[in-house]
Amino acid sequence: MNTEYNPQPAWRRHLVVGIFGLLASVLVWRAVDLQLTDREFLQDHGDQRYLRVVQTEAHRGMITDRHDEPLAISTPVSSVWVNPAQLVQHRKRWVELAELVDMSEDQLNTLILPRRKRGFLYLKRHVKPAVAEAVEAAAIPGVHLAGEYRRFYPGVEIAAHLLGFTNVDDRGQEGIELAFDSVLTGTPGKDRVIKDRLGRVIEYVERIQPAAPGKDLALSIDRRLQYVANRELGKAVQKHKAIAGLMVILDVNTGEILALVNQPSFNPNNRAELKGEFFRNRAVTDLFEPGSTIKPFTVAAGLESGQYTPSTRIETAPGYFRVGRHTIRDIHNYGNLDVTGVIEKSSNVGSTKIALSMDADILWKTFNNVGIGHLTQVELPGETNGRLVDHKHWREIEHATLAYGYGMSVNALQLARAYATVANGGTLYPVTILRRAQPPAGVRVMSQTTADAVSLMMERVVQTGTAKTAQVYGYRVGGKTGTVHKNIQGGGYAEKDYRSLFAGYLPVSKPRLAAVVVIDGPRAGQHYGGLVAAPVFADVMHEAARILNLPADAIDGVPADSGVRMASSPTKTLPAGPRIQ
Amino acid sequence: MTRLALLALLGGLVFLSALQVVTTRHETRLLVMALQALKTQRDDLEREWTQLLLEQSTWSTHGRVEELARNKLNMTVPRASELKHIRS
Repeated sequence: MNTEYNPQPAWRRHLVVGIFGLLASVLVWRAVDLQLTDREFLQDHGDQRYLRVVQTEAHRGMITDRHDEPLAISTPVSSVWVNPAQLVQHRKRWVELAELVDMSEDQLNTLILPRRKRGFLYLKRHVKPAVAEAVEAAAIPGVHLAGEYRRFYPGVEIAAHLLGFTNVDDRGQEGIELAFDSVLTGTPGKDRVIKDRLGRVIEYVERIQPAAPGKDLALSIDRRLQYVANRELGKAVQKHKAIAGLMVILDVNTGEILALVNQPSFNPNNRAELKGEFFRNRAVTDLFEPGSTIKPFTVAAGLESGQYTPSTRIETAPGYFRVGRHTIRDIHNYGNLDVTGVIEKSSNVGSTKIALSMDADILWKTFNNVGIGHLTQVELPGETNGRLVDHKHWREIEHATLAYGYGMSVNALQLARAYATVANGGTLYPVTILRRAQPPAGVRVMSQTTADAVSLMMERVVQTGTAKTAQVYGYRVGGKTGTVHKNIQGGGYAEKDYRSLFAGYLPVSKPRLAAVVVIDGPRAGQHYGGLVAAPVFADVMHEAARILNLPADAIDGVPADSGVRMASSPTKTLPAGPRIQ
Repeated sequence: MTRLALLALLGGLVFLSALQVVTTRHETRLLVMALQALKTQRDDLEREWTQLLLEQSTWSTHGRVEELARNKLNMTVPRASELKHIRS
């Protein structure tokens, strides 16, 4: 093939080169365009293909007692969630799914079908581990498990009112859980990572937010005392068919709350059972008139005024005493008593006479100083103030009735704090529910001499007076009973509706524990504080003293098997706490 | 001539460094995966720990211990007459 060379015209070559050049410049322009103008948008979308934000769960802090025994623990559980949009494409497997999560197919329909456009729906929260495993094994498209935390209270009902509880999203709703929610709640961490095709994390790009687990909280509560108090209080409330009961135990030297119990209680582990009316922590929210339990402070005022000594004689005959148009009565005519006798017999007439014989401001100051009508500022939600009217506004009848605890109101914690003050020799310590690292700074509000004298009088109350049922074998106990007519809404007092009180402490020679027992509305016949509330104190303190290893200070004081209340019956078995300290 | 040799040397070094980048990257990913596995293990252990803690405190509930002590082991609290106090 020998063809003759036939040169093409130059324009054809130029045309071809020109076309190629044009194409090249289009490509270059496009590249520049992508790189410069659309870069952010494209980069973003590119990243979305493989960059992921993963969350690290942060669990809620544990609540423990003073010996680090857990009272509330968060443990991981699984929740089943579905992607409705994906799930509606697999109707065949709904029967299987319904069975797994223990729902009927109808329920599934009504739950999922209206939300078919959505991408996320909790199907069942906090399922048992076995269910979670089954769901995972079934691998139904659009059904997933999410890790969550659920709160458990191993002590069940013993501290239900105190601790409160959390909602399904692990946020505090009541009690300690609510008051310290921000401390207990953790912050989940967020990391931006690169994931491969199989969903494995292959590179950490940045930490958006570090995970901060919730902090643990150590309460001042002693779980063993809490248990005993709850058990005995529960028994008493049942026995006396009472509406409610509560007990507070304080450490008199630090102001720490060692036990705080409400009855009837509830099970915080079972949310379905939770009903609003039971949650109130009556120890801080409910006010009552302290009645006779205030008399030791009336006498303390008398001693502080210098007008009285424990042996000053007071005439209480004929058993009643007129103040203006009102008559103040004793149960019996006690005749001529000394000041100790006034407390021992709980004479209204005697304490009124003491109160009226001194200036109003001395009485008011004594009450006010031990914190009557002042918030304890304990770290619990919903504390109420109490009420003690300023002495400038007192009428004579108020001056008189305040002497035996009517016309003022306190909460149980305030009363316990006042008794702790007498017990420790006159120093008021701030009350706390948290474990203290160091003893707090107290304020001296009563002279040591007065406190000691009042303390000896209160010991007489337990030895020979109205509170013999508060005796604890081996220990010297001081205390005072109270039986108060309950207020009627709209004014006046109920004839047959009572509140039985006991406040006391032990051991008298070196006080350690102060406690207040309130039984609200006993309906089984007995209503005197000495018969209803004081035995609870004795039963709890008997065990508390042993648990805390308090040295006995009345070994010879009470003869063995003297018929004194003591834990000699087999029902009083004492379990050892998990850790005795 | 020397310039050409230098160029070749640099080219070789660039190639080696490229290989190095690839290996390092691969190793990083392996390490990240190992870290991930360890984190999962830590979470699992933590889960197990809280569950054990919960179990322990449930078993050691005072009510249960008391019940066992009284009914199964026939334990009682000593009567006052059975107590001896020692003065220190």
